[in-house]
Amino acid sequence: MLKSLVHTLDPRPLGLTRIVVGVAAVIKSLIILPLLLRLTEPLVLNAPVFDWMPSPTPALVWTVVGMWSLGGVLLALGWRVAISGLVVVGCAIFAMCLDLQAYSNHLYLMAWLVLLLVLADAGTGLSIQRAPKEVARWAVQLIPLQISILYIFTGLTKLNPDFLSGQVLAEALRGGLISFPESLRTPAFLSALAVTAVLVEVFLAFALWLPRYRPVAYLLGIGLHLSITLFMSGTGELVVFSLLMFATYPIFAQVRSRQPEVSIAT
Amino acid sequence: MTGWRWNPRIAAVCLALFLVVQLTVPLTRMIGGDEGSQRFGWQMFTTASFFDFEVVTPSGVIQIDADDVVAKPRGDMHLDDLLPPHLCATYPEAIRVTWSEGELEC
Repeated sequence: MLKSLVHTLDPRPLGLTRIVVGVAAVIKSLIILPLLLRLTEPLVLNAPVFDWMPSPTPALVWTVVGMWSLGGVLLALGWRVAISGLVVVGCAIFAMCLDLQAYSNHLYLMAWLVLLLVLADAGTGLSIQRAPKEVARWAVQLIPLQISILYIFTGLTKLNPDFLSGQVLAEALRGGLISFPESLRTPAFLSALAVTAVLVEVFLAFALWLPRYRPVAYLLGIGLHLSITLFMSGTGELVVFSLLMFATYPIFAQVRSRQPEVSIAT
Repeated sequence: MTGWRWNPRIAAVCLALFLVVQLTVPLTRMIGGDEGSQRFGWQMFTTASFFDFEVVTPSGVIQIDADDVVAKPRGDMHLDDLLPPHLCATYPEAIRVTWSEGELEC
């Protein structure tokens, strides 16, 4: 049974994931730049995670964001993924430690995904640098596991009166690219929408693994993330979040496929 | 056409460690956390947050706009603890800072 962990997989779906995550990392670096620069203004609250963190200065911010962007580009291209990926992870962790306001769930997710891509040797597929080589199944499988865990917890933590009443959605569904129809902004509809969102998230956590339900799960997942991106405020950040989630979808199809596998265990 | 050769036992340990971290952290955040959102817990759009800070000065009350003093207000930041001392320092004429759930004498 242990040997099945080191069976190998075609590296191309992982390579596709790496490309999309790299693009998302570059976009995120551009989105976080104004936020980090605001921290350098005297009137704005500074809340470093650790007292020993340096105070944000424009030079520090530009350096971190510059390294982050470059790392993201190189990660997408597949150039020395172990280095470019860790640069992105390092910059993301530094930003999150620099100030509590830099944290976001999609930044945390991005850091994890990039770390897992490095672990899975994601530079071997669809890369400018290296010839395709098979990748270890167990390491690749950590990525969809990460996504399922996220869906489960984000669904379960919404089981509270604030969210289920529709109150949270009433606030969140403002300022998006598309205005949420005012005629639908009723407590009953928003509450039904909230319950639906929870059910969809928990369903996705499991259904993405099951070939029978996967097509429905893909459609629901795409619908969920597109609607969040279009109707909620903070479009740029939600685009990053959606890209990160969509990036992992090809791997779900691969880890449970019945394609012939080759054991590299000796 | 083969990549890095993992030892199956090391792979199993890595997988187990990953699951322990990935399940324990959000679970403790969900069960043991304070009210409101918790970071590292995959809590997204879970609760509504309000920003209602005011600075009381001898010449009147200043309603604080979040955009003026916070780079990004987050529900998981516990602004109640962080912002009042900052407002006292930022507004030298402030007598006290008030918000829906408390106040701080400057």
